Amino acid sequence: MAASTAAQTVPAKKRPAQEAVIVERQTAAPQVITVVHRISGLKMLRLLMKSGEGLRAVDTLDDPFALTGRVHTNIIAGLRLDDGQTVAVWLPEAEVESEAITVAFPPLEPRAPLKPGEPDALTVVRGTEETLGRSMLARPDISVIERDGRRREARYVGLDGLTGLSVLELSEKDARRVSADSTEVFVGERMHLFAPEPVQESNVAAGNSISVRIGEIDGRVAGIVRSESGEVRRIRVKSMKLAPANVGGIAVNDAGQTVGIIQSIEGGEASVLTAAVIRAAAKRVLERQKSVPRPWLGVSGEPVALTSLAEIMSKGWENRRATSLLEKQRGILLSAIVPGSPAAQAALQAGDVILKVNDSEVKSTDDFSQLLTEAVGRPVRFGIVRANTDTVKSVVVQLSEWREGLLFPKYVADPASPRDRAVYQLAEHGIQSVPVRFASNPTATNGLLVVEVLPASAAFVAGLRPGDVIEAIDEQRISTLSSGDFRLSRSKYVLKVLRGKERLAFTVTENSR
Amino acid sequence: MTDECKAIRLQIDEVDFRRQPGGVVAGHLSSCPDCRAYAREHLALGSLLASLEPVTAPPDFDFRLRARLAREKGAAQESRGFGSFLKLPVPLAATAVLLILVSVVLVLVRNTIRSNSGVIAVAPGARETKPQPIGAAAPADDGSTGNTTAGLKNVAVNGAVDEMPSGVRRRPQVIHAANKRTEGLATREFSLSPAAVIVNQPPGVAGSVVRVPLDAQVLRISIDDERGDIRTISLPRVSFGSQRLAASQSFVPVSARGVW
Repeated sequence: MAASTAAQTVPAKKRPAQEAVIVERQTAAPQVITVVHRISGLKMLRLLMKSGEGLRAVDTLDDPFALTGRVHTNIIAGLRLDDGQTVAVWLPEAEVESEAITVAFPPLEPRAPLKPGEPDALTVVRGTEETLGRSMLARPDISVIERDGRRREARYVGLDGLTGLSVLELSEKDARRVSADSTEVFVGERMHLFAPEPVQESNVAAGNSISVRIGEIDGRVAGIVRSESGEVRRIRVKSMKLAPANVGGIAVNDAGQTVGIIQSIEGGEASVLTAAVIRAAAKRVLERQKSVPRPWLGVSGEPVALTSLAEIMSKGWENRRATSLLEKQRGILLSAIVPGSPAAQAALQAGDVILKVNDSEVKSTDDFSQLLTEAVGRPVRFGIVRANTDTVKSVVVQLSEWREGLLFPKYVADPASPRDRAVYQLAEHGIQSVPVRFASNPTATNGLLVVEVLPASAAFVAGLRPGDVIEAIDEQRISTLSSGDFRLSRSKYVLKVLRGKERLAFTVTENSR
Repeated sequence: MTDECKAIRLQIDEVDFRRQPGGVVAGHLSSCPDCRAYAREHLALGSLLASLEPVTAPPDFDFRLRARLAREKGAAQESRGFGSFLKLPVPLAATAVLLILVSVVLVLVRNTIRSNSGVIAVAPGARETKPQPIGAAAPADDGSTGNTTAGLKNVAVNGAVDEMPSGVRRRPQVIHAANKRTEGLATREFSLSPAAVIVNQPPGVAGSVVRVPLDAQVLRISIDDERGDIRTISLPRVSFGSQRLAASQSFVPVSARGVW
């Protein structure tokens, strides 16, 4: 492992001439800082659901409402930009922080008076978009540690949906100079990849804490991905020592100049977002002072190159044409279209294959994402082929901003399990939940923990909030759901809920809004 | 213990760990505290087994394995074989045998010490607790009995392979979150060696070592491991970069694959 104090520990013959300006004992890459992001239990559950984990239950909680407390700390590198105040950081989990900001909150209607016999809905939530957003998700808990150990307060400004980068603003400006960005990169060039790492120390294990410092590994530029205009989009850096812990790390060249931030690691190669891309992302977020949504088409799919013949044929393609499509290894096969989305409005269908975006060929998901990103703000022209036609059809789509919806439970509801059906049907009503077992009775499902409620849903309007535990639906207790056909009413249902130590009841009327 | 109890316990033994007993068994359990306790132990053992983590090979495992095989093959070809050993003078052969015996004894002693050291790979967030009988309240996750002894030595750096300054390679580890493993349980036999910590540089070279406080609360979840089984795990309290949190996935970046 290479050392970080460049002038001191690296043999001079391996360094280029410009290294001579580095002052002895100066910390290498001072622009690299440590970002500490703490995540609450509820956000962690949402993250797991988004990550595609087959989350089945939350087990044996001593107190279900401790879920609003912090349960996880992610430690990652941050890049301090040369204004001394802005930090760009790849927070893979930041989306759980930013959703509430991007979701459009409908205006709330005054609540109708209770009818005789109707259970009391004890909480009536009124407020502006801003206050509701805050009530759903607490402010991101992020702090920054400088290389000299100083801790700085940082404000989370927002997420750049186009790149996935988060932007922080330090409370105080740091006047110290940081190295300029690298302007030229060449294949074979040596890279230094900096990222926080745990430190093994004999005296460090006391207490609930972990010792961390910025570590460094070496790599070589293995490839450069350019846009059609010749701009460097991404850099691929190869190193045998790469691990998921290096994601978010900062790539620096021999001269100490910033090359970029590691976005992902696959097969011993790191995909690095370039410094120019990072600056553009920071500028976008700082200008809006909030998250910048990514373009939304409203489809799911996968590259034809990664699909099978059977899969293509299952979408209505005839054998000969499916084989021909597969041989060409081009395009994205659409598997689903979100109703009401820009794709649906443009009459795209499941089974369509998008071959081109604005005359550029699509071969991979990265290609497709990048082409969509470049098309933000203007109509996009797709070249598509369909299962039943031989000609390439041109379809124009106006992308909209990304809209978060609920993720349905990953495991398909067990038809024999009324509890699974309840989870699934609640999701259809805008309530994302997960079974929860309390420590007092770990062998039984005590209720359904609400992980997320779509602000546009009737349940949200009725007062249901993340963190509530649904104990009964329409007098059917979750703990005793054992047989029979559970079916949630389409129009009106009552949720009996445990919130803290209070028991509440919410009457949800789907057409009340 | 009555004959009925014996018959019921046989049925409990045969039933799937994760399933609650029903029918005749449930009826018997409602009236027999001993068998109820037996059933709880059975269920607890099932939970424990379900919480075992799969071992994940590092990305370069194949490369290293091939390199090692190639190396060993080369070494074998270079050796002179056992026949040449027999031709050695008697004093030299005796010395060699003695050296081998001493080495074997040393290895055995070292392994014995290691197995008695009580070190189990545990995620930073997980605590070692005594198995709780089903129905009893779990100990509060207040951090009062933290895992600090395992703590930093066992920080799980999933898939990380690093070199010590001396050039000694550390073995990659997986996140190890079974917090119910206790000494004396058979599962200790399967536990991995303590998770490696990346130690890339001597202290003080790359900047300050800072201490980051961790939260005491540990979130326990059941997940589908995509092989048809459900496992209960404790989520790690800390991760670096984009380390895996649960089973199969990493943190998913903002542009989830396949969704636009």
